[in-house]
Amino acid sequence: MDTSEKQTRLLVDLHVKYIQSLDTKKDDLEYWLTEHLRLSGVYWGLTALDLLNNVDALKKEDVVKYVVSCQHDNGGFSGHIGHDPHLLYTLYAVQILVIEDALDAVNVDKIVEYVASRQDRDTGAFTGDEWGEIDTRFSYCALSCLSLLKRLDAVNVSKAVEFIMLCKNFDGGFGNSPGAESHAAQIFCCVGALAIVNSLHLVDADLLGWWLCERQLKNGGLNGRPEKLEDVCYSWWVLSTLSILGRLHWINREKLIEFVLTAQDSEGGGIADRPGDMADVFHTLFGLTGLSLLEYPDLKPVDPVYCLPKHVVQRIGLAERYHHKEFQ
Amino acid sequence: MHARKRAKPSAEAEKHRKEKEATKIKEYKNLVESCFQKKDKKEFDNDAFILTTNILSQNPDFYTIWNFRRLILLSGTLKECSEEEKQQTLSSELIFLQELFQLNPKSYWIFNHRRWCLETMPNPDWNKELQLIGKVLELDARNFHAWDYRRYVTPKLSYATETSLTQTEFDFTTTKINQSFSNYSAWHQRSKLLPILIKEKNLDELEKKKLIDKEFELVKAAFYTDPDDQSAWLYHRWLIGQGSNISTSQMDEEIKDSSIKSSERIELLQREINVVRELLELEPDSKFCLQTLITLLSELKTNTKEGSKKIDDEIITFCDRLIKIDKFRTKRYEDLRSKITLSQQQNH
Amino acid sequence: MPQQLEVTEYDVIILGTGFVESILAGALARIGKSVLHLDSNEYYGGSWTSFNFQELLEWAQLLQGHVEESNGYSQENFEGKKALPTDFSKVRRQAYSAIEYELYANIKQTNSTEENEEYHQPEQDTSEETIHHVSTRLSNFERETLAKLLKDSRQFNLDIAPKIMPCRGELIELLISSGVGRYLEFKALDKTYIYSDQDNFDKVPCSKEDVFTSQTVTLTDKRKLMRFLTFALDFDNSPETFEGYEEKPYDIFLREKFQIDSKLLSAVLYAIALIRTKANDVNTVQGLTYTQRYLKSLGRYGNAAFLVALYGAGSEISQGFCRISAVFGGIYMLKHSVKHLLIDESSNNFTGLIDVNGQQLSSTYLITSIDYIPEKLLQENEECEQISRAIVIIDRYIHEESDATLTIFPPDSVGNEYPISVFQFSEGTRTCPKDKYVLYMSTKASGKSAKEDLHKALEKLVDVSNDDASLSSPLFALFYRHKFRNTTLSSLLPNNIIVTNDPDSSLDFETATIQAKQLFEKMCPNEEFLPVVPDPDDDDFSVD
Repeated sequence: MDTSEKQTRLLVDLHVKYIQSLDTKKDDLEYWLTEHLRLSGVYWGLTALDLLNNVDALKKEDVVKYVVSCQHDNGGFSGHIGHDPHLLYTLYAVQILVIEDALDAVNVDKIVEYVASRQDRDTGAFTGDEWGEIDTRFSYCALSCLSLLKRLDAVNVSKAVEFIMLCKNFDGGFGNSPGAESHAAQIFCCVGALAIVNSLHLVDADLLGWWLCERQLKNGGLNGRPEKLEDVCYSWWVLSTLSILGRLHWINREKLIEFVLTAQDSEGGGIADRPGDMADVFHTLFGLTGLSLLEYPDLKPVDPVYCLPKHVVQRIGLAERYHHKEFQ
Repeated sequence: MHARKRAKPSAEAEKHRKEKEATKIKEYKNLVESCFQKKDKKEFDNDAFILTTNILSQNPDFYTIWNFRRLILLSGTLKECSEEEKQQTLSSELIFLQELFQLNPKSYWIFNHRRWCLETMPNPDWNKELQLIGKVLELDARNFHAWDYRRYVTPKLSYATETSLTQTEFDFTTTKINQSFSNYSAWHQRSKLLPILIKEKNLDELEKKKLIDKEFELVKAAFYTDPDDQSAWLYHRWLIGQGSNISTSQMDEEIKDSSIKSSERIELLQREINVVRELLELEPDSKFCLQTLITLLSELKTNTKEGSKKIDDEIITFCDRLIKIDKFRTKRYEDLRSKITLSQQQNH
Repeated sequence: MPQQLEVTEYDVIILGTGFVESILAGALARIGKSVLHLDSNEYYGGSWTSFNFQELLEWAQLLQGHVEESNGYSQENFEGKKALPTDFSKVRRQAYSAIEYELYANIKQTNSTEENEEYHQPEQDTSEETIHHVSTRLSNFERETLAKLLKDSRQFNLDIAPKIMPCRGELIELLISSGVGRYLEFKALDKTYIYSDQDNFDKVPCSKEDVFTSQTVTLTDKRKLMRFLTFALDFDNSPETFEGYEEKPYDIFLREKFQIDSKLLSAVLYAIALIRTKANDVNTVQGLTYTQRYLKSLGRYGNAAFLVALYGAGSEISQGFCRISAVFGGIYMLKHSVKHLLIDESSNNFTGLIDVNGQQLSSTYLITSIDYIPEKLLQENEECEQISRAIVIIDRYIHEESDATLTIFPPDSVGNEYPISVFQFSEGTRTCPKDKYVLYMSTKASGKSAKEDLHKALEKLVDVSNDDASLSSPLFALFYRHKFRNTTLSSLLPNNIIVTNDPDSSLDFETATIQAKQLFEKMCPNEEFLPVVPDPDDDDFSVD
């Protein structure tokens, strides 16, 4: 275990600088090997900046221009310019445009068409792209995307719910497909999706809440499933789900905050998966969203269903689709 | 992105690294550029294929290149060729995938491509796939990609051989659990197979009860051996919830509501309460024992009107103990506690 | 033709290629000492050696010979020094007693032979004499068994002091660091059984998985055992738990602190801590140390706590160290006896020896096993510990098919005063041919003979009286006793004569390895003990 000195504050400025510097790392091979994640990186970075009250640290024009350049004729978005369209990136694109309030820059109808085409009419499941991979992550992507665009009518919602419920497990959790093991990230996707379409009553909140709160380990961090290591990204997926289910108080807030803060890189900025490791923008976002849910000061509140700043969700007029419980 | 230690290299070392990487970056970018050129021009030839091989060997997460590779195969080598040639080409793909897999055992894209190959092949060897994935699970029994893949392969094999594999797969989970009963993935798989097994075997009530009782024995041995292991307790809770109603339905809510509050059910609850109580005596600070007793007693209470105050009081003492033992989840136990006291107040 | 040595002066002369002597030979040569290593036997290993079947039979017959026979050397004076005669054969013979062997008629194997058929001469004539010695009092079936065993003689490697090696301990670390491990092959011993009442053998669970899957341990016992094993693995970090019990008997501690009793207690004491004496002879700290050593050994190479060296451990390991010695210049001569040891009376110092060819060889130190010590320098010690052993060749495995297993009979389970251990080795360890198994039994001596000490246990394991075809049948059994003569036998000796211990009653080589280290430390106080030999191809072992 790492012996990093405990951090007691959020290094806001450092993180802002870190995110701004991401696109400059062009002499790192890693930068080029992760090109297919560029659009995701923009979403992660931009959302993080907004939560840090610094959304303008990335120039809006540039961001929007980039997102637009990733849209394809069929309406879907790819991970980078010239790459193939996929449902994952389509969601990221919509999320970014919603933050920047720039949906008018793209062909929304085409997006809806693309997302709708991803649904298998028989099973209700969603494929990631034309190559047919099925995963409940894609159910979330589709429903979240359409919800943000106010176009849930474009798909068969009850069938979508049916498929998600096929992925429910003996422990109250959800897997990526029928029969698959419960995993915090998949659970977030399924519960988030169910919340979007007003079907939370189908979740056994007590049982799942128990499974989720048992993810907190002695060091305060959360793991994604039993016997696995703690990881900052689970402080989003586990926490957001608990929040949606109104059971956020079932974990120890102070210890988790301590854990996330200690995973910060006090020199270069950014947050890592656990104390002592290298930071990356993915864990930076989820560390911040976790802290935000825990009402850490200096951060804007985040919406646990959409993983967007709450003010953005409110701006587009979406109702809060989860149990609301203040921290005592 | 995960689990990379933070390093503070010297300026000298940094410079050296950057120089080394500069050549690699140049080479990689050239590969990608050439590949995209071919892609944009729709040139599905062997050169393009080799480019995809080179790129994917370095970067198996580059999903667009997998897509392109499949297009090349479909428009090129797999188009207008004999069944044998098709089989040969796709078998080579499988070998290529295996090499990549060694370094990337948890890549979605590698598994996706493998499935595509097997579905496109004239004669997929599902048995071989089962053997292969068995070996993977030997090395890492918690690799959920591997378990998912196994769940994908077994129905295919079952269909091809016209035999049910439920029993053998069930036995496979037994083997895995015997190797390490902290193997949550194995217990999970078992929870999926047990209802199917019962249905397939068409067991009568007595045989069904015997089978389920064996499951209780297994899980009991696990939590007596290690009361801190969550897997066994969660499986136990599921078994209780199912009782004699283990079915293939996914809607647990329905089952709970329609479960007959018969004397049989009470007997089951009592029996398990006794088992857990005995363990609690040996391990008074076992939080899972206490939680399980709370769950069992809560249900017992709804079956027996008399003595419900006594049960409530005991549950409350358990909650108090849990609050002391498990400091991280204090508020959850407080919630449990207040639920009981609230319902007590309501009943007066 | 007498072999004359060119060099007659050495730093160390070593007599006997037994386990401890061989380690010292390797260690001393390694640090640059000149070593001359002699053995009266024509084989390596001394009292730790392994024999093929015919050799074993001949060795048994030799030991049964008249004990009073002496080699006839007498004390002399030689250039002003006292020349004390050695009597290797006699002294060695005296270490052994109660030697008896029997062959069994194996009805099962005679499906190709008829009852009245004449005895057939085996192909190898070298065994003729042996057979003649034995065959006159055998039935046809027994002769047939003998003939078959002799035919396969070379496929046997039978240890006369069999021992195993814990996966964490002195010897294994030494084998890894010295490089001797490279010369050896091993199999795992991963199953231990314990005899319980009603003629049952229970598999002893040691790991979490064993405890979980055990069908014979009750739930409560599973919990108790796990709780105890978890504590024992790391006991030195929880001194509060055994505070006040340190000097008390181990079994009292187990009973009072962990409520471990009856079957479970037996298992912990005799099959996990592997106590060779009675429970109240071992105190809590000792007991916990043994238990911890066993638990720490698990998991290093799979689910086995022990490794078994192939081709006869005592012999192979001793040879391995002799090889190191030779690599670093040690001189080796087998079948090379010693007539006299030369002692300077005034200083009571060993100066050299006269070998069988009359050549005088001198050295600063003499390291020797007790067998080469002149009788005059040995003190009579009746209190010597004795060990009863048996080597039994059987036709089928006991319990289950496996390379190596261990079975324990707790004290009093078959009328035995001390625990009895039984190794079962198979062809996998190259102990015997493919269709056979070997049982090595041992216990501290208590009755009149080795056979008396061990036979009841043997009856529980194999079908001695041919009643039960489902059990394994014995083909041959050798019973014998040997003394554990330690260096207190030789307090009359000069200080520069270092005497090594005989094999003791323990199941492993740990005490012997420690003795080698201690003796080396005494001789060369600030030197490194078998430092790592750099070798890029460390195939057989990986240091973890």
